[in-house]
Amino acid sequence: MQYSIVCYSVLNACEVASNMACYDGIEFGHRASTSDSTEALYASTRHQGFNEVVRGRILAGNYFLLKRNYDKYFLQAQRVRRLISQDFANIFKEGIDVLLTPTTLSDAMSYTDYISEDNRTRCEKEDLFTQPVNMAGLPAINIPMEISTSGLPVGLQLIGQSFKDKRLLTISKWFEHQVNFPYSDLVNSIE
Amino acid sequence: MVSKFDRKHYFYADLPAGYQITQHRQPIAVNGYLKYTSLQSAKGNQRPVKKMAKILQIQLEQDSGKSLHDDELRRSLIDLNRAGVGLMEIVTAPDFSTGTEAAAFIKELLLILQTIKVCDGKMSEGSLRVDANVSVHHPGQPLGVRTEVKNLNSITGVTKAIDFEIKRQISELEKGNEIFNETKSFDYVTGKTVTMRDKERLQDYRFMPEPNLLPLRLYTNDTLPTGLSDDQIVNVDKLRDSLPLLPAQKRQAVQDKYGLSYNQAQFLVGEEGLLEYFTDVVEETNRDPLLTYNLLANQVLMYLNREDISIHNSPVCSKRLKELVVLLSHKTISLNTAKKVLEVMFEGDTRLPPDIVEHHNWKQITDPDKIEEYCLDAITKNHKLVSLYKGGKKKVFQNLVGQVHKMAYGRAEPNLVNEILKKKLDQM
Repeated sequence: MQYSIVCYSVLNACEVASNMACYDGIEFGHRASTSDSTEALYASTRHQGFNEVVRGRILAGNYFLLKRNYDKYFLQAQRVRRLISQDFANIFKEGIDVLLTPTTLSDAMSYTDYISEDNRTRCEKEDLFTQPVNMAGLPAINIPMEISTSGLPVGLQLIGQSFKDKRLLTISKWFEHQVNFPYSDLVNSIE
Repeated sequence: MVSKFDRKHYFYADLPAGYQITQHRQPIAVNGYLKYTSLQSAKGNQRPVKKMAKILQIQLEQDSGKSLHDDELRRSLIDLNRAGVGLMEIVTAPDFSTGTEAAAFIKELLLILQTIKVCDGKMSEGSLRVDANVSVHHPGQPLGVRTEVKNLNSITGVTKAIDFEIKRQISELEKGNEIFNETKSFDYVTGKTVTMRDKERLQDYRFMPEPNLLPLRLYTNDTLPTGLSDDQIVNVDKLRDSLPLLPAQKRQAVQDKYGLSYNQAQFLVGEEGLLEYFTDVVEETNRDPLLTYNLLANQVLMYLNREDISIHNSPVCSKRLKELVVLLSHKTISLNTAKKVLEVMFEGDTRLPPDIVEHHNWKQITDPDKIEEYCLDAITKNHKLVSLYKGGKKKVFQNLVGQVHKMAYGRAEPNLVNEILKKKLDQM
């Protein structure tokens, strides 16, 4: 599990680099007003249109996908990903239906605290429990459980077996019913 | 047999997604070959030489859009209509030595693709495009630096571009210059290749497996999977069995059945509908196939090409040509008359050949007495030519023959004329 976040950082960046390639300002969306060359147009458009986080992921992703780096980063991450997937499969094979884990490391964080660290570091820490699930391709769900002593919500994650979405949702519904979390009535409270 | 899809990333206005889905690492087919025939000129003759080109791989991929450069207004126009459409790219080994060889290969490939109904073969419309990689080297040396001439869209273009590029590279090297690995396009107007993009900075396409497409699995009779319905299975053996007769087989059949040469067989097989037309005429008449072939290849096709119509739209259907062939082989008319009848039919006369011949009184004169009359007439009216002939100038015989035919309004049977005229002259 400890390797999962690293593995995820690599693969996520690669996919972002690939999927964001369509935002060149030519067909739709923001287009910079540079007229020097097409290359300059792409560069300005994409620099203006993406924020730091996305730009960072695109640059990293393209780096990992370079021919000389492909095996070292992308393929290696895929190998680790398969191991993570197998780890989960082995656990479920032992007769386990559903796994229960915390969703985050603490109760809900304030905005000030959240932005005190850069996005990548923040994700690396906080996504510890949730992104291995993405690596393994398993269905998972967060269920608000309790209000903490600080008055902020705490959630728990339920992870189900591959393709057993319905069973996971059934169990989740039961859980939800059991804990009876005090949801805010946002609609009426606005009045 | 499994093949996979990859994304090939680069930025270009005709590639809206910023990547092209292709099969870089594991294409659908590898290690193939294609046999073809190249015509090589020797002493003014063209003889067919059997060749084989290796096909390194075939891959499935997406087409990009089309870009047009408007130099006048300094802008580019992008047409995205064909972007994303599926393509098949066929990559050969460097097995060609001349533009002619490459063109011959392309022609055979096109013929096969049209026969199996995979491509309509209209190169000018972009149905098939050729990128030619050209390099030169001395015998025994390794391959030289190659240039790539892109987007050739005609057979003659392929020949000319490759031959030009070969000459250009040789000329450069002989001057002591280097060849750069660059991308070129062919200017049809000047007949020269011109540098297209600066490819000196080698592009890293950052290939990544396409996450949205499953591996493509092809099966054979021996490897059929269980648990899948028929429409989920692509069985290569089954597909192979369902193929129609391929050009090579058709050509061989024509050569074997009708005794035609390779070139003649290729002519018939090479154009859609031509072989059917030919067979229609020959089968029914059971006549000398060569006679039919000559009429078809020379007169009929000449007219069709001139008017740019296909054999399917020929005003002279196989039935009428058949009747003409019968008249010819019975010697009812001469070859010259046959040509006249064809001309008349092409100009819009819809009658059957026998009726046309009857109408114009074009029946061939085969009565030796009649012909002798014309010969004597010609001899009488051409003292000078006869004297020259008797004096030893044998060549003027043809002039005298011409005179006989003129008097007979072109209806005299040529062999008889030659025979009888010579006899008459020698008797003098």
